[in-house]
Amino acid sequence: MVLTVTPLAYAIANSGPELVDQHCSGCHVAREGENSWSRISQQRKTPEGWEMTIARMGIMHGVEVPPADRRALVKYLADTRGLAPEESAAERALIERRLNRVEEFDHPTFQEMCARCHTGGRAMLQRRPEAEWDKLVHFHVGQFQTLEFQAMARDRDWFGLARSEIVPWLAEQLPLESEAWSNWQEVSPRQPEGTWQMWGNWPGQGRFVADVAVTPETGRDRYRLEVSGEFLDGRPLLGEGRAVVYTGYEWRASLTLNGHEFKQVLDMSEETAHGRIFDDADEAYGMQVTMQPADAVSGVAATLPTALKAGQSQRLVVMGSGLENGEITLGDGIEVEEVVERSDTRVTLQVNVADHVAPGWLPLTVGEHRQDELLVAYDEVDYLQIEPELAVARVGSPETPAVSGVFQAIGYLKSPDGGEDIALGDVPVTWSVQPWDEIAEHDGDVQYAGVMDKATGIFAPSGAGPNPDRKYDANNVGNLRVIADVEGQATAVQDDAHLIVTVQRWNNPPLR
Amino acid sequence: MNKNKPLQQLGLTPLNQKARQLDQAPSREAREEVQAMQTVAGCTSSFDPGWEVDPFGGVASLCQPMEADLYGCADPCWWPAQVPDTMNTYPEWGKGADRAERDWRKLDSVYPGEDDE
Repeated sequence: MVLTVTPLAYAIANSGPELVDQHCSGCHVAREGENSWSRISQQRKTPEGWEMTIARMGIMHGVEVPPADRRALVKYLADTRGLAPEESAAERALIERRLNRVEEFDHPTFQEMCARCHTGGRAMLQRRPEAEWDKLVHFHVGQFQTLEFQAMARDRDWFGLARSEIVPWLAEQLPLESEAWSNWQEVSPRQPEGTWQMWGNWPGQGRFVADVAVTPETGRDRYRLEVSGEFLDGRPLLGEGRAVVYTGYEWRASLTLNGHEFKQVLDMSEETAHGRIFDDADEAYGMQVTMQPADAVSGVAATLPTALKAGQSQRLVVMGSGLENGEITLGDGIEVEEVVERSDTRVTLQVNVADHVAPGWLPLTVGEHRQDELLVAYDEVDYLQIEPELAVARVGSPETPAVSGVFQAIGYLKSPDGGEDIALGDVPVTWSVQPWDEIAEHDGDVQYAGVMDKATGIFAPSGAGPNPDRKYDANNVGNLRVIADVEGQATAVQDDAHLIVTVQRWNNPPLR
Repeated sequence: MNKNKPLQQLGLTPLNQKARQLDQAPSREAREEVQAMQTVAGCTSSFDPGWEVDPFGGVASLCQPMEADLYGCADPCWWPAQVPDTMNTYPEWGKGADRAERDWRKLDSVYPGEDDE
């Protein structure tokens, strides 16, 4: 007999269908076809989406699922009813818990109808047929009965419009069946066992590169990781953690780095994985990271930092593969003073940048590998852009931890010849806050809302609760202007951004 | 507030860019679009007032302190994505914290809860 099983289907634990039968089939009846249950088999979601569904079944219907079974159910459902990489691509920011951005959608009223309470991305990370989208509308009206009295609902026939305009649009945009999903099920799931190289820029701590050893652990697609590396200034970066790969590519880890607990989300569908490490309780505190397997064939993949300032001796790390041999050159005005460390995947250099170096791209060669638009030399920053432009921070308490304001100031070189300006990465600045407007000045927002660290750009909000020192015992909210001034150059360069310090929320699911 | 009238007719002067955009918006629909488009992901833009920001993009016109009227907003589930609605989903949430202004420290997060990863 010849068994035809797809690789992903082969990877599914036997216990998945049994767990659905055990915990869910009291309401979700088995249907024709193997491993098919009403409603459940009519939806596809991210691991977070399934986790939230099971949580909701507990909150609203009293379903009790032991933690181990719940984890196994999320794994099974995300593996068999997940999203293909192309289907989650547009909403990586939401999965990575990057919230300080303004959403935009190609529909005239979707934001007013749906994304005025929660992110629109929460819907974009689901796939359903039209009848299931329609049921979701019914659920909302039944569960949140004053929905139709809220602003942007009472001015229209919300229920009618949701069913006649939003549901068909969602069903067309986000159908249950797709070519992307069919194709993805034929792809072998990622086997991440081995050594990886990870790099990023930890707010307040600095740029780092580390080796990450990934070893299998008991349980399907479960791994243990050991992190060993250092920041550019030589301080060690050590950590460990555990990870699960869902749907063949969705890496989710809990890890401790230098004693700080983080979550990690990576998209492993390509050879080099990209994603974010963040504090689960303070999601603004996090960093984008790249993780490249040691056996990747990339040549020169990246450098830390991405820009070298004139007139300084500084550390430069080049990451990639095939870097162990050959001459290292960086162009006119850059002298390699010392090769501190060198391996196949990483070269650590001490370089001296001349005062007179020409601002612009540097031709970087390591042996036979060359990159002409990866590393930049600069003398003065031409202009700055603070990221994010608009951020929401929240006051904190032990029950509802504070959400920080975390800012970076990205420096730019104007192109001398009318071409594209060159981003330098985050550059040294001095941070401060001011009242956003006259009302904020009058209300003393700068005094009450929290403290900006002038060196790191991290704003620590004040405590929650009524403040008897403020008019009406107001909370420690604030409407602030965040200002960054470039350090260490003759020409003053500044940018500003908007920081709203607001009240806490008590409902913090992984997808907002 | 009557959202159909320009701010000047209400004796108000727009103070920031968003308020000016709101004031210049030709219709209520257009004003709502300004509101909806300028809130960061995951914040509610149901401005009655909003939970995170007020209709002018600031915080000065929020209910303050929010604890003073918290249950008045939680019970009719005005911002159910941010504040547990005690009408339907979390009827016990405020139990034992009868006066939120005094007892706000007793109000726990509902998600993540004890069983959530």
